[in-house]
Amino acid sequence: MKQPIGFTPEELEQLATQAMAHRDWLEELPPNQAKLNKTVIPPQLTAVMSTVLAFGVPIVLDSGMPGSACWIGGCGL
Amino acid sequence: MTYQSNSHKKSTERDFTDWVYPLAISHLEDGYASLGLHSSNSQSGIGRLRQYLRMRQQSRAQIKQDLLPLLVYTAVGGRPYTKAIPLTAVWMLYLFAAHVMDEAQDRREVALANEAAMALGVASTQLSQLEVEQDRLTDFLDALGRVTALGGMAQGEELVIGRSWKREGYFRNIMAKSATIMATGCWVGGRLHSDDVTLLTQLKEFGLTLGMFLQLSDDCADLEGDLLNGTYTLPVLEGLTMTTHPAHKRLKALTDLPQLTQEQAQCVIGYLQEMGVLTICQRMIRSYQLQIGAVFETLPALAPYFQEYVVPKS
Repeated sequence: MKQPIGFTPEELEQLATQAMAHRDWLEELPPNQAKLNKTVIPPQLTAVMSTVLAFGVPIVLDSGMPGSACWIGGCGL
Repeated sequence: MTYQSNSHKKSTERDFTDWVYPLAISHLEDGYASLGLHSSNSQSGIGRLRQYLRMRQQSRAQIKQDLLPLLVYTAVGGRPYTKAIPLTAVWMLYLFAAHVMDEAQDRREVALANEAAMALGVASTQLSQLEVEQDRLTDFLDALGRVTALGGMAQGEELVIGRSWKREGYFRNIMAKSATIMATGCWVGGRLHSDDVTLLTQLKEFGLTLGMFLQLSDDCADLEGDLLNGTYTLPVLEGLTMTTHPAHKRLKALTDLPQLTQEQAQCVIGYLQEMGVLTICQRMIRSYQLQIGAVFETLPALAPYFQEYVVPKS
């Protein structure tokens, strides 16, 4: 049975728009890192929506730094 | 959400990737040899491929990206591991072709496009020889064809408008290239083992998120290099939107120049630090990290191979 991956230019446009909306939502969060704890990312702004919605896995922001950025060579900033 | 790394498991995973990677490389080289593409020149054909692979082997992260289909195939229950090697070799050729096309653009060497075409030709030949059912093969051809077409469209757009995008264009570009490539790598690995729609959708999304995380992290890490290449990535684009910040005028004056010197690039980085663009970039990267980790809740077998992407900095 065929199960194509289904990527189209329209889907990519939608994903890019979602990434922008995600970015805008993050910008509006309070500057105090501590207040970020327990803030749940809205499912429609996540790139893993099927995991969030189908399996009920909330994605909770934290105040952790993106350590793996340093693992791949460090953050230039 | 924390993932305690088990030293024994980490050792096992390391051993696994260490012995399977040479097998994948050997398969690649056989593909070139079977088409008579021998070359003692390191700048063309199999010589260029070998040079590229030597570079890749210096980084465990890049080895993992190269083995993405095989790791995912194994994680979702595929056995034996060796069944995924031919498909993984095809995938590595697609990554190589994408790398060569980027190099062609950076160095403005149109002739390099021939090397990419050669790699894709070898990949197509190897793909047609995969020992899988017809439907599965059709899906692989479709997936890899789409990622090439979408990446090609993005590359074409770069040639027209350059790499000084607005933010929307930047996200479109990295979605079409990095995110789609990783999504396809994960998806084909899962498809080799399964036709479960839910699983494949999860893997596609996992790959998209992984690709976004890797590209955003890479863009933050390579800021100076990108500036010298005339490529403006997220940190610069964020700074350019902060029109009311005192440093904005100075930033724009430099980014409007046709080419930056090293000293000027350092100035740009200084302005971005002054403007505090770090916060939004780090939040985005961290958010994608957490999304990667969320997938482990439902696909825990992925964790041993990818958990290092989500470990927070202490």
